[in-house]
Amino acid sequence: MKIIKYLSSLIITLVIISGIAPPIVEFPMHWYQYPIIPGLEDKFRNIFFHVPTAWVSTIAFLVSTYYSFKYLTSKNDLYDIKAESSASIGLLFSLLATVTGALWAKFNWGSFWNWDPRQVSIVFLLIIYFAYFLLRSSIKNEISKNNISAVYNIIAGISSIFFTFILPRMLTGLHPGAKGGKDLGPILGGSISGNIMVTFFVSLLGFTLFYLWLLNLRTRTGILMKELKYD
Amino acid sequence: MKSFFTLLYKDLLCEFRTKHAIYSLLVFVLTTVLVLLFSILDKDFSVELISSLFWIVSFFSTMTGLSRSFVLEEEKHTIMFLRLQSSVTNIYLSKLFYTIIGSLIINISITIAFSLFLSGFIIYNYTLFALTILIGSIALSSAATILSAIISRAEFKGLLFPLLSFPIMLPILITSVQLTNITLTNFTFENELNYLQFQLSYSTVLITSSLMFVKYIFEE
Repeated sequence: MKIIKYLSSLIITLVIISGIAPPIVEFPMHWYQYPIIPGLEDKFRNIFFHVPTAWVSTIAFLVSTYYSFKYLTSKNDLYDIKAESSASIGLLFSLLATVTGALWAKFNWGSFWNWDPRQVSIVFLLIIYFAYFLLRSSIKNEISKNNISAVYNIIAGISSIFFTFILPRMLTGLHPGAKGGKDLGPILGGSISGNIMVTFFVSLLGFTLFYLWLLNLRTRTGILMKELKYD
Repeated sequence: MKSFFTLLYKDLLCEFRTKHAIYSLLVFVLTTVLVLLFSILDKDFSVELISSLFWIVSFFSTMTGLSRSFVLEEEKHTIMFLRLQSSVTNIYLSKLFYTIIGSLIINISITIAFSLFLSGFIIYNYTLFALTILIGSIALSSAATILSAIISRAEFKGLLFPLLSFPIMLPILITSVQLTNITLTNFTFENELNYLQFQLSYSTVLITSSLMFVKYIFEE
């Protein structure tokens, strides 16, 4: 885990530098120059931070659902701790995705909040997982707390799939990938230069490693808190 | 299967004898519609507003009345006897069908109240409207039943239920509002089937996972 910790911090540092520092020119001649994306210009640098946080939050919620399923089938307390840790990290990262997205929306769409389907759906994801932690704290009996929160987490995971992948594509909106939109955004549309692509995927890797380290850290503290009966 | 029908019959009989839930729900629906009418008097509502009001009333009455299916059993300490008599799956299924029946009654009564009192509420596409009501009721009930089972074991039930159910039911509400919009306007749209498919798949996944996992809720 030490390697992952250092590797992720190294990669994220590199991504911050290579996301912010390189100049944007019309016809890139050197490896350190980014081309202009029409309509985005300097604002596209947010891709390296907004998309990975949203990606990590989705992964974290799915992993949390998976561990809840594992808990129900095996009744091993470790999986419950892992499910809770992963959900809390997912909550943190979806908050970050909301903030970076709102900043981007301010400069591209005109205001911080536009009631775009994806903005609405991430708010409801936040509410779902806030409710998960509220539910956990409102059941006294240890075993039924673990069972019930695992069942709720599976239901929440199912509706989070509908919220992230299906609903925003069915409704019209401003975000890339909405109904009636021409493309899937600059990255998934494939119309982007090589060096942006490299930075983007390295950023995804770095944030994923960061998530793995955070999950490990939260799980270890969770085990210690359980041993100390610190609740 | 026999015990499922027995349980459903028991729920309906209890309701038929006391009529607590159905009367309070009907009064709730009527009160909401009357408050709306008093506040707007003779102004015209847009179609979008009417359809969202329809589903807001439906959501809150489903939540206040029918969410109590499992909670009532827990409060009366009768859930133990039910579990002695039959499996948790059967209890869940009977509660689900009870909720679906109740939700249909609520939605039909809202439709009657709206068409009596709101002049802008004119249905053009009757088949689609009936389908919307039917599938919307099934979808809302599939979410409400499992959440009611979860809530029945927790504390602060009154606070927790709206918080848990609103985000889970929101995809259903959004698509139902869109579908009602389509039925209330005279235009033809091509994507109404998408919304119906969405609701059907959402409720299918919810019911399947509830059937799989509901037994863990009552495990101690």
